[in-house]
Order: sequence, then structure tokens, then C-alpha cells
Amino acid sequence: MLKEGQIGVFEASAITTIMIASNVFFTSGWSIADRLGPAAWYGILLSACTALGGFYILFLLLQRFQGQGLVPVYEAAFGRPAGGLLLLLTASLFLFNGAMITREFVEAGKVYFYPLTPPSLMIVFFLLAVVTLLHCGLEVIVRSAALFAWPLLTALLAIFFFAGPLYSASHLFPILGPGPVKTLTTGLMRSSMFGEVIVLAVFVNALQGAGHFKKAGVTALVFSGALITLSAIFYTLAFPYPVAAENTIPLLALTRVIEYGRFFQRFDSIFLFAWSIVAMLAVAVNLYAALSIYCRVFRIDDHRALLPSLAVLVFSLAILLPDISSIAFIYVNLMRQHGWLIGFGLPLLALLAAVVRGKKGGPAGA
Amino acid sequence: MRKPVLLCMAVILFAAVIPAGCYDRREVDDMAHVAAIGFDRGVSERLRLTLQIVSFKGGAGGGGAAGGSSGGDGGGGDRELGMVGSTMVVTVDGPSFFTGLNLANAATARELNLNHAKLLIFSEELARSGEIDKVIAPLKRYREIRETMEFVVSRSKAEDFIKENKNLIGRDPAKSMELIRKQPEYTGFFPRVSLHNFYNNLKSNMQQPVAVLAGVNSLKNLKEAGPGELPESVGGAGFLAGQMPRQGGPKRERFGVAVFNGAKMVGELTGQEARTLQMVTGDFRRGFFTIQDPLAPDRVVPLDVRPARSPRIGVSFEGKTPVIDVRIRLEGDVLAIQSGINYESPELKPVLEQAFEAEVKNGIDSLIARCQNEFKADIFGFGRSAVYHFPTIEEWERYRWLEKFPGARISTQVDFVIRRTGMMLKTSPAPSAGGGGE
Repeated sequence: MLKEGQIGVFEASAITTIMIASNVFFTSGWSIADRLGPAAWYGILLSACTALGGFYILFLLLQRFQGQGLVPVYEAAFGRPAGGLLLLLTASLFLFNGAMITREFVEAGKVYFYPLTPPSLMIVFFLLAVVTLLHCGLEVIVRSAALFAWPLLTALLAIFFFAGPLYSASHLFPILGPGPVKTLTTGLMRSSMFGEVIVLAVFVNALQGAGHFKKAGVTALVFSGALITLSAIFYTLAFPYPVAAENTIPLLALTRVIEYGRFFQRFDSIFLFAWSIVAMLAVAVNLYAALSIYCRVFRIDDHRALLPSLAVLVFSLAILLPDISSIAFIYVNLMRQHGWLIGFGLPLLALLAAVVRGKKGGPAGA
Repeated sequence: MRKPVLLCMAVILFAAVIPAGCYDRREVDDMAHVAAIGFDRGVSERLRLTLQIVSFKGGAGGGGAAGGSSGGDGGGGDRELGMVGSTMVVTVDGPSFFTGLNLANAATARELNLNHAKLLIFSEELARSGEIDKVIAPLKRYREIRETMEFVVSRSKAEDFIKENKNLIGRDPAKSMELIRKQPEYTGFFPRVSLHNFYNNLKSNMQQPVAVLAGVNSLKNLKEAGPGELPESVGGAGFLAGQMPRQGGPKRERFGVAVFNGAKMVGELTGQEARTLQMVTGDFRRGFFTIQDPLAPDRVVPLDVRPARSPRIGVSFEGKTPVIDVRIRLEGDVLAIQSGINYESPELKPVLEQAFEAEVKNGIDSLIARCQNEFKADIFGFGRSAVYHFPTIEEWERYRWLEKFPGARISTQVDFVIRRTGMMLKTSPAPSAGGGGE
């Protein structure tokens, strides 16, 4: 079986938080700013609370199958063929997410920093770093996340702090944005943003039990929810709602207008550092989750054998996405609106199936 | 053992090669760095683009010797080549900003780079045409343009302003352009406006945008002494950019504010009004003011004024009419008392304070009246306080604040406290034999 080693609660929370909060570094998380305007921040808070509810279902499911990961649980709940199919669907979500972040990273890089470098070259070098992480395995990925968690948090908070003079409280008004009904429905639908917390269920064996799983999941959801909400508040404070929806990468737009005299400006370098590390870790953990599920479904012992083909697949997917507008308006929207079906919907279905079929505990399929 | 070492060496070699050269590698010296970008209406094409490019030649002293009407650029040949001190000015007509940029680049061996540009300047003619938003749109999208660039409207052509954009002190033109942006912190004669501020207010439905007003001073405005010429105003800043009575210094001048209603420039404010505007918006930092001595009208009292608190703006509604209360709290120090009247004393201090309060209040009232009746533009940002009363975007947009602003009832209150009296606690009158002078 796949050897994933052991990871701690902090490490698991760190990688999941980075995975979810990576949205603020790209176009992804901000379509909500377009829809909700000044109400975006509490729309996100609402999504985070909904996600906590979804995570509780996931927790109940794993508690019912003590000591088992997502793969055996789905196989037990749905039966091996149907479970395997749904697991491959979940793996596809992780794979596509990884490819999409890769392309977003490259497109944003081209827009702001490397206009002449061909996207294929950027994808190749980016994937080299990711594949190196994947080769080293889960422990290295999560420990890298734990190592970078505090510097990344400091960089993000520094950007918010130094953008202080640009803030105007009036930008958070009209406080109800487009109205409570739209805010509520968008907030609920956009809980998909936090659906990636399901990754913990894939690594639950490395996490050593449902108790640690619960702690890590709740911590990750609370932290990532707080970070994305704070990002939305500070970004909205700096740009009035008609402008807020215009920027390609809102956080970078905020970073570029920070200026304190002649010497203290051009904070893009801080952003660039944080942005690259977040992208690399987020893609690595998404692809590792996809690989892990795939290997378990097909009973493959060593994921490293699949790395070259995975790299080619991700490269092809990333390069196939036609342009940044399609990514921002079609794929991101699709994932954000319907991603919850896989993140929270399938676990709910699995729980219901397990209850109906009377499946619980013990080895898979018992 | 050999395998990891070889792998490490390969990685180090690879890492060393990658940062050293790639598609986007550009040496600093391979680029021509643009410091200022000017826009005028074009003659042969839609837009006239003027770029001030740092030449890094030095020598001319960033404007060179102050002598000569040209302000120190080289000889006639240099002027023909567009050399302005240690910068080169290139002007082209183009259908768009980007084509203009390419055309200008065709004249220079190095690739033009806008990453370090500090100044965006538009001619008044272009600003009044209402097409400034069309010029700004591509700037917002282009990665080399930073939103921190200063946003200026020139009463003369932007091309002429840039040709006079010389620094007579120091050699670094970029440094001068950055330092001049700090001037509002100690004079207040023009606000600090960046592309970011302007664009936000252009798109906002809470406030109308303003820009720094600039002009070219002929240096012939300083009147010589003559009979019957007494200053009518003691404020000392009731003029526009390009009109400052002075001799010497660079001809380019920032003074006052360009007022916009949407994308169209609709008026100009003097340096004095610029200070008043900033007192209301909360951007005023510090400035020397001169008022008439309340007890000796033929004398003046200069004051060093700064805000005591942020301005308090309250908005309520009577029916559909907005009612706005503005409270400004200032404090300051006495710089001089020409009359020798002991305003430092607790009994007379309020007299001076009330005189200044009245002067500032009059200034604010008249500026508000101009903005409501003449410009019909809320450049104060009162809408930012009004928006709190509207729960949803739909209701706020349906109210149409910017259209309601001219009909708003606005009351103002100014509080001023003299905190310090400089290095003197009391003024003793100078004894005189009498009968002389007047």
C-alpha cells in the first residue's frame, strides 16, 4: 500500500489552509467580489460556516468507518465499482484544480512579470518544482507547508497593514451589498471554495485518527475562512465596488499601490515570493491527493511510477485551457459553484448510503 | 555517495543558468526609462504623446545652469534634439497610447520602459473634452504603469509642461518628481493625487475626481513696485498654476486643483481653495496662512496651521434632500504678530482664533457653493458619509447621489485653537517717536 508516513495536526492544517486560501492569490476567490460587492466579506464568512457544516458530515462519515481513509469508505458505502468511479471523479477534481492553478499562475505571471516568456516554458519549470515535491511524498509537502505557513501569513498581513492609508470605510457600504437574499445564496453556493478540506479525508491514515482529522479540518477551515474574509475586507476597503471587480489579481493590485515615500514602495516582491510558494504547495497537494486516490483505487503501491505521466497530463490540461478569461469566468465559476457537490455532496451521499446499507467500521467492504 | 553529489551539482548548475538568462531578461542599461508621460490632443492623429526619458548623462545638472531662458538645457542643437537637462523629451502623434509608445521607441535605440515613470500629465484641453477616461483605460491595464503615478492636468499643453519639467537642484530628475509630490504635506497648495485615487473616484458613485493643477509660469508675473498697488487679499494663494508671481526657479508649476465631473474637467481651484478642499477631505497636513489682524486691519498675522482632528461629516436626509454638517477642527501656532498686539494673552487669543475660524469658514462656504452651483461635483466625498444610510447597492444607485449633491443643504463649522506662540510668549510694542512714516 501507499506509504504516506505520519503527519501532525499543525502540518495538516497548514497545507489545507494554504490549499484553500491560495484562492486569494489568484483570480479564483474574487468572483465573489464581483457578485457581492461590499458584502463579499461576510458572504465568504457564510461560505466558511457552511463549509464547517459540510465538514461535520465528512467527520461523521469517517467516524463511522474508524481508521479508514476516503477510498475504503467510499468503496464500502457505494460498493467497489460505484465507489471507485466516484473516487476517480474526486481525483479528477483535484487533478483539474491543480492544472487550473498552474495555468492561473502562469497567466498571472505573464500579465504582471514575464510577458515574453512562453507559457509552456513557465509550466515546465513550475511543474519541475511540483514534481520534485511529489517525488518526495506527502511528508515533505506538508512539512514544507508547515515551514512556510508563518512567513506566508506574515507576508499577507504585512501587505494588509501597509495598504492602510488606502482604506476608506465607505467602501464597505452599502453594507448589504446586492441584498441579503443574493448574499445568502451566493455565500451558500460558494462554500465550494472550502470544499478542498476533503483532502484531509484522503490523508486521514497519515493523520492518525478521526480526532486529529477533526482538529486539523476545523483549524484549517477557521484559519482559511478568516484569511479569505480578511483579504476581502482589506481589498474592498481599498477599492470602491465598481473598481473592485475589475482587477485581474486583486491582491497584487492592492500590493502595487502601496507606497511610503521614495524608498518604501514596490511591495510586489513580497507578493511574488508568497505567491510562488503558495502556488507550488497548492498544486503539489492537489496533485498528490489525485495520485493518492488513483493509486488506492487501482491498488498501486508506489505513486512515483506515475509521476512522469502525471506531469505530462497536467501540462496538457494546463496548456489546453484557452485563456485567462475562460479560466476566470468559466472554469473557476464552474468549480466554485458546483465543487461543493464533490467536496460535501458525495460524503453526504456516502453517509446516507452507509446508513441505508448498514455499513460501518472495520476493513473496507466489511 | 557520488550520485547525490552529481545531482546537487546538476541542480546548482541548472539554477545558476536559469536566473541568468530567460525571455524576459533585460539589463537596466538596455532600457530607456521614462520618467513622465504627457497626453495632448493629437494633430495628425488622435493623441499626442510626450515622453520624458532619463538620459543618465548627468553633466547638465538635471536642468543645468539656471541661466538663460531655457532653464539650462544645452544649446539650440540640444533643444532641437529634445534634450531637457539630463532628460530627453520625445513627442509623437499616434492613434493610441501604445502605438504612440512604439513610434517613440522607434526614435530611441533602447527599449522604452515605463516601470519607473512618476508623472502622468494631461493637457487641460484634453481633460475638458471629457475623453480622459478613454486615455486612462489602457493605462490601468498596462503592467508597466503603476497606479502610484502622480495625476496632473496642465493648463498649458502637456508637451510644453514636460519640456519645462527641469530640476534645478540636484541631478536626479526622478528624485525631484518624487519629492515634489511631498510638497502638499507642508504647503497644501495642491493635493496628492495618484492614478489610483483618480481612477477610483472616476468610477465611484460617492465622489467626483480631482487632479493636481499644473502650468508653465512665464516668470513675468512678479509685479514691480508702483503707485496704488496694494494687495487686496492677504491669503496669498488666490491664483492658479502658472500665475504665481515669482521670478527664478523652474517654469513648471503645480498649484491648485482641476475639478472633474465624471470624465470631464469642469473647473479649476486656486491654491487657497486647494487647501480649503483638503481641510474638508481630511488630506490637509500643514500650511502657513496669513490673515488680517482683527484689531489692526492694516497688519497681518501669519499662522502655522494643521488639523487637530479628522473632519467630521454628518449626512442626514429631509425627504429626498441631503443635509450635510461639516465640522473642521484645526490647530496652529502664531508665526508673527506685526501689530505687536498681545494676542498671546488668554484674553486676546480667542479674538485671533475667531478671526481665523471666520476666514476658513468663509473659504469653505464659498468653495462648497462653487462646487454645488458651478461645477455640480461632489469633490469633497460627502457621498462617502451618505452611503451609510443606504442598505443595498440598488437603493444607493437609485438615489443617484451625485445628482442630488447640488441641492444639498450644507452647514459648516470651524474650530481653531492656537496651541503655541513660537519662541515668544509675548510681543512688546516697539517705542516710536511718532509722526513719521505714514
